[in-house]
Amino acid sequence: MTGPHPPTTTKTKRRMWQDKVTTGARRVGRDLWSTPSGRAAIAIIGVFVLTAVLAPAIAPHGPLERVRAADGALARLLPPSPAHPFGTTNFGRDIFDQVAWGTRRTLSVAGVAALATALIGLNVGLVAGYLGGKVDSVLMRIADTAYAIPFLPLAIVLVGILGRSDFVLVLAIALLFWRTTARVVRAQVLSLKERSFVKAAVVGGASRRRVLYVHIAPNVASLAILYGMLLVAEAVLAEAGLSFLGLAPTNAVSWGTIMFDAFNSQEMNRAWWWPLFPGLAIMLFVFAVSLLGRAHESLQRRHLEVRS
Amino acid sequence: MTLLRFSMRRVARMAATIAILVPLTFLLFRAVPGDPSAAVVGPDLDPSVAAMLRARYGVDQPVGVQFLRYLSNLARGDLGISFHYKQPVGDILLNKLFNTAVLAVPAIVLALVLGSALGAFAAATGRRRGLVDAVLRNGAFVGRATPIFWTATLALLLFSYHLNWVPSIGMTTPGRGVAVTGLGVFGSPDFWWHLALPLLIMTLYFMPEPLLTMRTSMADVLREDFIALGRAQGLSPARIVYRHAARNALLPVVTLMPALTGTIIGGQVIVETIFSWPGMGRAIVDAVNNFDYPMMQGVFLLTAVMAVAVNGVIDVLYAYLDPRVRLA
Amino acid sequence: MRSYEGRLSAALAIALALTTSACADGDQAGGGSDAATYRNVVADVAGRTPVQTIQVLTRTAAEDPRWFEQARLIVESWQRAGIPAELQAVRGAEVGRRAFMSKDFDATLLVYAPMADRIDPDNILSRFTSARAGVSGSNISGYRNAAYDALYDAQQVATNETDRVAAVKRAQKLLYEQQPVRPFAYPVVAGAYRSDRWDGIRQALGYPVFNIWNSIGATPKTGKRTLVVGTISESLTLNPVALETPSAQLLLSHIYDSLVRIGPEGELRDWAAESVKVDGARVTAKLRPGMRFSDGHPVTASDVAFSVRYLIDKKSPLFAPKLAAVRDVRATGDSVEITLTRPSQSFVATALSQVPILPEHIWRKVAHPEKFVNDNPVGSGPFVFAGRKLGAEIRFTANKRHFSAPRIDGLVMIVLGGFDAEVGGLAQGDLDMLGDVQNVAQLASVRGKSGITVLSAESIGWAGLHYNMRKEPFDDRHFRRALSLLIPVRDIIDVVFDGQGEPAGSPIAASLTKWHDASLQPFPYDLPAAMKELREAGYVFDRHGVLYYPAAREDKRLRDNDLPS
Repeated sequence: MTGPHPPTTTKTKRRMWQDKVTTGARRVGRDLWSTPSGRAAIAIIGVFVLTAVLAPAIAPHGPLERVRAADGALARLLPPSPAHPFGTTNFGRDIFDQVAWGTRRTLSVAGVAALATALIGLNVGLVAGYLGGKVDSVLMRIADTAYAIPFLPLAIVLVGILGRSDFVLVLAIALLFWRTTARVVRAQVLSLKERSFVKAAVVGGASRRRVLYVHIAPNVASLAILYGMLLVAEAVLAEAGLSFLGLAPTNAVSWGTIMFDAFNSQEMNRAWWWPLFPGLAIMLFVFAVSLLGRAHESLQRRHLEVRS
Repeated sequence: MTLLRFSMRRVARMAATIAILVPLTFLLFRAVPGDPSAAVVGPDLDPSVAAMLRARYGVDQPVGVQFLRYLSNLARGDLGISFHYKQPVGDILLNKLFNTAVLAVPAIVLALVLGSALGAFAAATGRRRGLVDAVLRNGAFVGRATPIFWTATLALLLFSYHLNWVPSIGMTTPGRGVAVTGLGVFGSPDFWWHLALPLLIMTLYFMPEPLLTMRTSMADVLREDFIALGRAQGLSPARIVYRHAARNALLPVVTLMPALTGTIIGGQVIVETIFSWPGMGRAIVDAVNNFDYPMMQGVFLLTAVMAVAVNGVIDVLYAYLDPRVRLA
Repeated sequence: MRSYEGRLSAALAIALALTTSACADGDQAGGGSDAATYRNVVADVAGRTPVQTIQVLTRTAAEDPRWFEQARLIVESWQRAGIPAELQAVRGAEVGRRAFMSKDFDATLLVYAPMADRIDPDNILSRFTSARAGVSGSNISGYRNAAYDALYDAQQVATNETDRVAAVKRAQKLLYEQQPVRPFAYPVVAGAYRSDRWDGIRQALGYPVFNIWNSIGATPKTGKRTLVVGTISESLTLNPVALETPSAQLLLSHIYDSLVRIGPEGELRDWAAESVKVDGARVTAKLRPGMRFSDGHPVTASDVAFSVRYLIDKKSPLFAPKLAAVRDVRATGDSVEITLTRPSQSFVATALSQVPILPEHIWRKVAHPEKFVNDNPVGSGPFVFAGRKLGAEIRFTANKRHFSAPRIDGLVMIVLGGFDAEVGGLAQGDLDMLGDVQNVAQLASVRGKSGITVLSAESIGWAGLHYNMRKEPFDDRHFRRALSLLIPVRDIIDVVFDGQGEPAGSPIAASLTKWHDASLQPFPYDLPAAMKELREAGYVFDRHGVLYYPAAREDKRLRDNDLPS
């Protein structure tokens, strides 16, 4: 359907498209930074990202090393102290180091999962919203089913079939969580396709794919980026839940696995510090992301109020 | 479209969803590599019995044959016999469902009632950007960000192990002759004493969603014209908020129920494990660990049917409350 | 505004970079200089085959963190010595399938729990006979050695105990030298109970606290006359014919009597039998008079004979294999005569101590026992079933007419979500006794607490590693010994068992003093000796630290499997 375009035109179009997307991202960023809760959120998330990047420097023991004292005794279940700020586990592992390395893993897995999920949600939403009719109702029926399938059982089965790996964690999250993004994007597309610039493109003879991805997609990009960020938080919670059921890969250390180890050791009643710190990390991070969502929400409301 | 026709269509859709879920659950579990007989064979059970066990479980036959037998049994209302418990799955599930219900239903009701009330309260004070609203709203967001296994674990450590306020395990104190069955358990102080902590944790876990939803929808309603009208007519602010606005704002909270189903199942699994509560949530985990196919199928089918049914009922209810929905 | 955007995009860029960077594991420094000094390094490895990576089969950390950590310590130690190895962590059911059913593994960690029927050495020794080396056999190492088979038979047919002990000691010495399995630790296991409420609890071999002797012997110190016992493994069925898990058998043995029982010190005690005589392949038991089932029917010799036949005919998963050697059983008067296919010194201890006496008048009518729920079990034992709530509790009342009647009025088993909760329940006073046996390290929080007594004992089982001798390089004794010498026993006991365990050597545990060969020293961790074993067989390392099989001309490997498979 799509006829060959002269290369220069393609290039310009692509640049325009990129511009639109980056403008969208910038707008999201700028808007968020303009509110106090948005600033707080970005600061907290920044600290976590920094921790993840600097893990080798600030957590010299590594997540699986068994720490021994100078006299050779295993550092078993030591409460928080200057040497071990978050205490140690029953096998002598330093929980601060585990949390720091766990940040790296948690954010990586959650980031990839959120990216994959947002891409699926974006595309489903675009196609469903723009094409409408049969395609729309089939896609939305699939979204309904995605809402009906409980996440943990699905993940258990997937891990059973494919084995435990990061890929499976990402797959389990991506398979279900695209549903919300898809619905939101679809709703946005439904209103966008009635706009004059889209109608003009259609009348101008642009192919459906072109209208969708060149004219409409950039306009929902900022929304998709925002939902992508919110998805990171959902993915962090999902990853923690899966890890808490022991479905993380062998040797993986994430916030969820640390808490799982604490619960699973059957020695937690002697070590309150063990589950405390990784849980705090999850809470703080997810809270920070939800602050972003709120900042966005209040901005939208402000726009609405200005418009009306 | 009439409400009746809408309901019929909704029921048809529910039936279709269940028709998809039945083979799906069956085939998904069989796709997991593993063998129910391997779950029991080991240092203390001679491996020579494995073949006999497979025959006894009926898993030595082709999957197709197993599926047809499962379907024909299901049609007769027979969920099969658990490999693990050696008892009819239906009986076990009924028992566990009751135990789950006495914890989950009060938790859900409390969460919805308290959540909506607090949400309405927050919205009513929110216009003045009050401290109450900030605390409630941020509390709800923190609550939503907190994994339930963490709160449950810490609460158990603190209130049970360290402070010794509440018991750590089970539904009743064993050996004290508390043998109340059925809904009579609610008349037993011992049961309430055991229920307190898990109920608190579950309620706190479910509460943020209704609270936030109610807060938003209440804020929207309060902006509408008829509220201003009421105000102009000299109705007291409290009356406006709680009699007129709240009724309208409740609608979105009702629709929240289907979305909460996943949260409830997940929370129930974790809470039952941590508090040794003998309900469905623990049955799910046990069934999966033991390759107990009849139990897995039974548990998931029951869960799915309940989820689908709740969704359907809510949809119909919503259509009844708001006729515009029927046109969609 | 601009600069904020810049910062935000930088943060996003870092986040993206992170997502693409693989998560680096804290990689152990492989092949330290220490290990390198003892290696047999050659410059030219042309024509040699490198040794493939050894997969160490273990349960996942999710299912059993202690199993997993033991395997991890072993793999780390082998890697440091230059032996390629990695963890193969799978679910318990999958360990069972690979190790016991398909025999598809390289080396597998196994823990033999202190079950009462393990007090007779036959339980362990039979696991190395060639007759059981097949795919569905319990000889998971695949050891097929004629000399060993002869020793195993000798201890079975020995006519007196001295001869049997001698044969058992020679058999365990052979296993020690040839290493089809490497038992590395005898853990110290423990139970605990509320000594502020109960007297009369004595430490026993096997399960130190919760066992039939303490259920009978427990004497109330307070007004509380029902013993409340916690457990994490629910007894799923009360049907002895369908029963698959031995932990449930412990509970059933409260309801059903057996002809003999294994006493608290591991000795055989006559129980429902007044006397038991073993004469070659013939076992004769004379029934104790006056016993009754809980429904009032008398217990007869014909009930006993029926039970044995029924459990075999109906293929009881737990009991039929124990009765496999039975050729014939008949009741005459108050005696039961069991004829075996061949003489067996262990039959009474491993089979008759476990097999329940079922009431014939009830089970005769049950054609399909696997579908029979048995929700109201009738037995003659010291306790009578009183009711259960699935997933919550099982209740028993004391059988005050029993010849060894309990001193308590009743017993309740409470099902718990985890051992943590069980220990917490004991500390809180919700429970009177722990029904599960665990490493004593896990009882640290209640040790020394007033009102609670912890009883611990070295296990009659062990934690060890089975090699799959059906495969290269595990068919070679030198290689197995090298691997065994590289198991960091002290570290395992220190880290995993919190110091509560003893290094092991023989597969017959040291606590079985009658059978254990004390001259077999615990196998040490010894890097130079391990490298010497490899050198002797002809294995070499190249300059990069890769391990190769011996070249054909210098192949000195020792194959201990001398019987055809």
